[in-house]
Amino acid sequence: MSAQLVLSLSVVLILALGVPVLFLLSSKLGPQESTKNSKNIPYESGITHCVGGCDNRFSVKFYLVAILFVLFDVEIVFMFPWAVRVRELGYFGLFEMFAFIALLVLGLIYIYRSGALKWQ
Amino acid sequence: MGDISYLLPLLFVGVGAVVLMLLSYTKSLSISSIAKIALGFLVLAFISNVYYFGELHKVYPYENVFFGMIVSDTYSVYFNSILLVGAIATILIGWDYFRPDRRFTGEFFSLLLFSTFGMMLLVQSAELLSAFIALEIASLSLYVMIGFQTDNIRRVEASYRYLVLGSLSGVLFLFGTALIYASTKTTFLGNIGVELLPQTGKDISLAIGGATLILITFLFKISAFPFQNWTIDVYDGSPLPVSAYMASTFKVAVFAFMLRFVAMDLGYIKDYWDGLLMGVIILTLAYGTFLALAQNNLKRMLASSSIVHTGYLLIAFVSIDIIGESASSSIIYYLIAYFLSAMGAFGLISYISSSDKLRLTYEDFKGFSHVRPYMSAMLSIFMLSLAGLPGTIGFIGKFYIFSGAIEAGYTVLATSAILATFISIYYYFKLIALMYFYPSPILSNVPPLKGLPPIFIGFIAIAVLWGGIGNTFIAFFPSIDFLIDVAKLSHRSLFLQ
Repeated sequence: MSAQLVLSLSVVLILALGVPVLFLLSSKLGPQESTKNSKNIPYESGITHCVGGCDNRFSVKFYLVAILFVLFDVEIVFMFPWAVRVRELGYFGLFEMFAFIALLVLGLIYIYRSGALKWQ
Repeated sequence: MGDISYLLPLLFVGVGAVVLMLLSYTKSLSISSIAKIALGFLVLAFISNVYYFGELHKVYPYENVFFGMIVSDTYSVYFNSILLVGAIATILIGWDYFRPDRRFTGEFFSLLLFSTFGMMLLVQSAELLSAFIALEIASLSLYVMIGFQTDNIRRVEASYRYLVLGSLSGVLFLFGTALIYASTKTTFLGNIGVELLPQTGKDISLAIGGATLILITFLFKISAFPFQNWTIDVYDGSPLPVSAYMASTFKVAVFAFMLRFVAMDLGYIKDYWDGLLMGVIILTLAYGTFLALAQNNLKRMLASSSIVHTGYLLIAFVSIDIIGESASSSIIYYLIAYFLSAMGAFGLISYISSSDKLRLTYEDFKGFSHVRPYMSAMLSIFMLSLAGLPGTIGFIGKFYIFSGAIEAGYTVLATSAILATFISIYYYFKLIALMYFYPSPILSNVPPLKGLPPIFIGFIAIAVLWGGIGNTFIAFFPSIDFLIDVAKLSHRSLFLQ
């Protein structure tokens, strides 16, 4: 194996091992929980008195809307590279993007008509 | 007809999936009419696919749009036919099983078509990234199909287990693709092989690592030894028609892609895998046999015996660089044999248990032949074929694989496979013995032989027998020789320019 290969492989290995280890260590390395009450208030978010514990159950509608939002939001990622190169790609790129969006619209129609966006 | 005719099967299935998705929200159509529409699209796709069956060709349709990422050759047409028949069979054998009171809705059929679309795309992809996307389309739809009955905790558990493990193996495929790209600067099948030739004098250790990661994904999806843990629980937890669909079609599609990849590109890398694969095969055979012996539930027995069949298939896979054409045609033929027998067995059991929520064990079949003689006969045919007895299609499939292994010099593998076959006779014949040699039936409330599914399963049973003895009786009718010839043509079409 060439030196470059060893280097790149070890970078991948270090990243793959380092990130989870850092996550696990973060509770030890990061800011320790203070005993003072005023420091634990989630300030600047408008909530001064939290209701209930952290394992409260929310209505499933929140999750549904959130997951639908993520689904359609991520598609923007594919549009940015196209938007940057729109002139070079020309009509071919335009057609491809419209085909892509058309498929998304079909999905949106399904979601809308099946009542997933209703809040009742 | 132009390029479009080569893409028609894919288009029919893809458009059908979207149409069914849009039809299913209205809830005005009954589930059987939605099933009929799905069947219509699949049959249209099958007809447009069969048009090119057995014709030696290799076309990259719309090369200015897809840049040669999708290919249509004899090989893909052959496998698409198997996949489409599998999807059609799934709908037909589940005709009485998919009912609204079981929480099956129109979306289920849309997902079935999406999954078939993904598998067909996998068979037709000539590039690693599009293969990954196809694999994910097929798997993601399957995850949802398994857990479609959300009120049943076992379905949800099976779906979740398959989702987590399947996604992990998908990641390995992607990382393997990245490594291969880093080493060869291409992801197109055919070009990779050229870059890996020893004459180029390149360092290919990275590509070996990448290809091995893809091999791991492949072994996972076909449930070979170290990655077989999910198989029994997932098959057992899924609705029976879905288990049949998974066991027969998905394995076919994954094998089709890997066979194409190895035959076209990895002939040189495969030498590094020889020891590894031999260990995998022997352990797969041993472990699968051991699992199958321990089961009392029929569905779990069929799931564990599918691991053993994976072992048989891998034997031909190993010998592919030594006896290329006959090895790949024996894989292709064995896939058909296993597909027919497993589809029939799963289908019949799902039909028998469709009246109540039985979990069928061996004991339930005591004296079954006295109540339902025809069903027992069909079930016996499928068991005989799975065990590989002469007179059935399973025998011919095993014969080609074992003789190919001996020809290629893998005597150890052939011997262990034959041993596994001997032992398999025990767990297949146990069912036949219980059905015929007990006086009084235990199973009551079995639906009579009526309606679409039994007729279709009867057809499969006849096909299984036909594949075994058809040639001896009627020489001029399409039979084994025809299928083997087309399988050889398919292998040749891979290397057309």
